[in-house]
Amino acid sequence: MTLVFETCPEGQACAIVFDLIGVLAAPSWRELCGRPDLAAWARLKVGAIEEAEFWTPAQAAAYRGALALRGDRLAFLGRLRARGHAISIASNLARAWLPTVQAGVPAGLVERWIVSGEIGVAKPDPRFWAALLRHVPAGSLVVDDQLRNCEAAARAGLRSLWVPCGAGFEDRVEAALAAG
Amino acid sequence: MGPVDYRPLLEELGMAEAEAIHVLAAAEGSWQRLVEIRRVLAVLAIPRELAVFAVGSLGRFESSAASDLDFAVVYAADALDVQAADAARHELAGQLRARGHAVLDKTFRAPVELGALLGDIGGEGDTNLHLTYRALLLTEGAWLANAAAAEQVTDAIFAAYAQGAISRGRFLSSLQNDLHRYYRTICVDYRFKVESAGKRWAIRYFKLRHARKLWHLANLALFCQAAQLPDAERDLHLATLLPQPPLLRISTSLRALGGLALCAELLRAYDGFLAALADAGLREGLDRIDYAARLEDPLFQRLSASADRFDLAAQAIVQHLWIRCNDHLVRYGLL
Repeated sequence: MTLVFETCPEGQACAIVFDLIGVLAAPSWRELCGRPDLAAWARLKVGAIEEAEFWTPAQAAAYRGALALRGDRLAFLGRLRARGHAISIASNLARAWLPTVQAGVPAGLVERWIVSGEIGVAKPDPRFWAALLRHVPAGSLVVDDQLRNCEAAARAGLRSLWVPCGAGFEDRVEAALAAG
Repeated sequence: MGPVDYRPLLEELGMAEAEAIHVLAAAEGSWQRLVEIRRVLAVLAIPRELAVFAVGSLGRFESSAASDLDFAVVYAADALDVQAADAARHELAGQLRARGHAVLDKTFRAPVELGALLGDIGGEGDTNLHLTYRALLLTEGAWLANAAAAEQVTDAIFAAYAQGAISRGRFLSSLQNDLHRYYRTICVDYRFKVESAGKRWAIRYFKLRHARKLWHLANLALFCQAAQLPDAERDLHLATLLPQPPLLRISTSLRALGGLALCAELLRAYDGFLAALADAGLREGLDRIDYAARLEDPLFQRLSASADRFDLAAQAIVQHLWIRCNDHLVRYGLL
């Protein structure tokens, strides 16, 4: 199912807001954990604990080694940017991991980074979207692989596109932009 | 994909964990092994563009301590040259062997270029090797290194079928046909391996009767169910479900088709097979079975009985699919 909620206000330039892990980058931290601790993750992703309290230094080093952006998605973002779209990233991510991700993004490609570990609140909490809406106009397009995040974004006055997997990714984003 | 946990399914089916204890153990053991390998490889200097996958029993979350490690390496020619890919694959294999993993230089002994996998599907240059890579990366390719590059590869393979301008088919039968083709290829490959190449026959025979058949049944069930979805939802559904282990592909499809209860006996029968494969002594016993005397061999009899039980469970599922999806099976799945 592809969900597209709301529409862009007429005559107003909309930003495109991409989720990070599962959309632009991989892997999730869970994929390097024998027994993923979701309770600890709930605290880490909002900056309530430091990474050292979350897992071992060896795990931290392994995740930094594994975490990377997809080349095809960066190229797609570059094409969108060249067409005049403002690109933002809105992610549930530990603040300690942000430099690793940002190091892989070409300068000037991403206008805003809204990261849960920095703002202290995570998707799908309405306060996350309120924080995002201080930087992008209502009706901007949010692209996320989690359905509940898309639904929450729509309730906050954003448009949303659910992309649970990579099939037809660029076509679906383009269709959502055209529909706006 | 995160850890695979069959417990919610067992609960839904009213089964005790003891009835599928080897299915559960294989899923848990496979996950721990994947995580261990990922952590080792994550800190090595592997070119970022090289996609490294586990396939085979580890990629299906069905491996045991007795399982070999099949790992596949794919690269894109515009990002990496073949020498660099080959050197990296050699280094990876050495690192994994040094940590006790039984890496065999068989089907996946050399890196494969992505364009070669996709450029001649169905043509003269489309080899068994390329078909094997496409089928297995889509259905049981678990990343081992460079997850982002690995996602890119599997998306590109799916897109090669989905974006066919003329041949894709409304129900993505171009992909379904290639998966069928792979299944028939490994059935015929068995003939070559045991008749001409002198390979061990018994373990291959029982893998064909259990794991390979389960894989094929999973694809059949998934495409049957997907055919009943609205057109706009089908590709996403297929792309999301294809990487799931076969038992989950079947249960998800059967649930939607009103036949979930039929999965219980399939799970029980498959559990017996995984129990046998996890027993190193039993694997060795299989190697000693003389083909001519097989019918009197207690081990052969035991595994044959397991395979017969599995067949009965599969028959019930195929009959259900026939009732619910006969039009799809006649037009695409079987004929």
